[in-house]
Amino acid sequence: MEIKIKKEIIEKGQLIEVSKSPKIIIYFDGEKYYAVSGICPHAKWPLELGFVNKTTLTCGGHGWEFDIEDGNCITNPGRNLKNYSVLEANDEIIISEN
Amino acid sequence: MFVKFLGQACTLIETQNERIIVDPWIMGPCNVNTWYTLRNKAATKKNILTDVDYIYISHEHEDHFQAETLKEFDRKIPIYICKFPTDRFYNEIAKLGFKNIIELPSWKSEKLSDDLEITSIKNPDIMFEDSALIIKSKEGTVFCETDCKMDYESLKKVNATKPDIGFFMYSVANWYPDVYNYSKEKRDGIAKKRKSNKINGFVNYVNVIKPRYAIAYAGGPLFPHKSQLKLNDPITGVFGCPDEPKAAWDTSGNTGTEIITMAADDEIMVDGTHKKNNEPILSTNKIDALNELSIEVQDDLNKRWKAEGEASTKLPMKIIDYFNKIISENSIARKHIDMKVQLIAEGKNGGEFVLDIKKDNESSSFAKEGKIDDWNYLMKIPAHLVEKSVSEKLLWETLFLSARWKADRKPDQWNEHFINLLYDPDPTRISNIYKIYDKVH
Repeated sequence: MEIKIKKEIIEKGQLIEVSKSPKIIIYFDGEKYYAVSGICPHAKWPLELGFVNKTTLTCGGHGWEFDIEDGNCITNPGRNLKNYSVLEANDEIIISEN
Repeated sequence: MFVKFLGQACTLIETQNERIIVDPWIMGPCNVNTWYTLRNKAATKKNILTDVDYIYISHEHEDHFQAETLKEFDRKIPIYICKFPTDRFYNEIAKLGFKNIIELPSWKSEKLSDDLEITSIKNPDIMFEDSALIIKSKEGTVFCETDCKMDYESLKKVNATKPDIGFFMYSVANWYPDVYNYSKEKRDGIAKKRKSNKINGFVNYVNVIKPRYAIAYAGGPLFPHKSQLKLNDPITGVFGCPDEPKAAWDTSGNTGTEIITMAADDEIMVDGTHKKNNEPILSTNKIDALNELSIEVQDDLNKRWKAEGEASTKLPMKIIDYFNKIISENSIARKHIDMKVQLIAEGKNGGEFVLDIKKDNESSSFAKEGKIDDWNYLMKIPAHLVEKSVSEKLLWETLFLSARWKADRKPDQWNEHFINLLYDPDPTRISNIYKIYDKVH
């Protein structure tokens, strides 16, 4: 699996869905891009409705927290998100399986 | 059609011909004599409206299913509940003498009469059982979230029913972080974040379901016992008041729903007409209300605490037998729990106990008296309450919700597997859960 997207559509500080199946979201903190699976394992809320503070992604439904760097669940260890490899290539971002 | 709000998660929905009451906890404390509903004055029997045609109960937590209130109802009234994977909730209701308990499969609408239809919605969690409810009549539609942590698709389906009124949970109602051994700074930081996340969830729920009118309910209770007053702090406390989610909605930029702040005993018509019968308890007047309630109920609470009794001399043996049994019967749970627990039963006939629930413990002895330094979880609980739980007279979850205990953990992280084991150690239930869990994770 490989997904290419233009950097220009990724706004800093926003969680953006870049793939529906599998659902993947991307986040750009101004320096680095992060890509993780986009459905909360708790109650299947779309994670683009959440928010990021530093490297903590919080689900907008019930407040489950994840480390956006590796997808690990902070509030409930073991219930992790899948995290994806992100490469920058000129004006594109390439997302692929780790 | 109108809804009378009776405090916490209790609503009475009245149509032209019928009345259904949802989650009737109205009178007296719940959760081992600790929680009271947000009222200026404690409710009495006359606040319990027993002239109803139907009762719906969302789940077994005592702020939704409370024996003291339910005792006032005719046992012939039909009680509707969600069809859960286990019969435990059904059996608990039957123990109170109710003869007509009907289980509703999730999302399968049930016509109670020509003009009344209810739809129960199960939560998606594989470990803990809970449900929400839609009540539909020709006059309108009401949605009651209760405490149910719903999946997103279900919220969209509720939206499609175009509810006129929605009742939404807005506050944490849990023992974390208050029972844990944290510095004040750490505890306050966790509480602030939890409260804020919950209110953010309220805004998102309302925004997806979009009823014409939304009411914040099923929030934090009051803890009026003198030993627990600090739990009520409206600034640093984790338990919120309904003005806080309203303010969050009003500043969110979302539209299409009006948030109405209701006090216990207030009524709302499907057209949004709000009949005020009481002063709501808000973050601005909570402390005054608490102080009054605390004075009012203190003697009664002290009597109730005294009536709980003492632990028997058999408690150490009961603890060891209980934990040896539930841990040995659930090896799959132990592999996931993988920790050592120091349990301290405090007070007369109590003691210190080690629960070795490590995944590599292949002995048949999992519980013994003793003290260790390398525990992962430490629980300090009044001995007489431990005895009630190991004797299966008090749910561990109810005990934990009382906040009448202390805890610590190394590392500082939630272990859902341990709580799940205590929630219901039935080996069939546990085995079924891990068949699903291990496939997904």
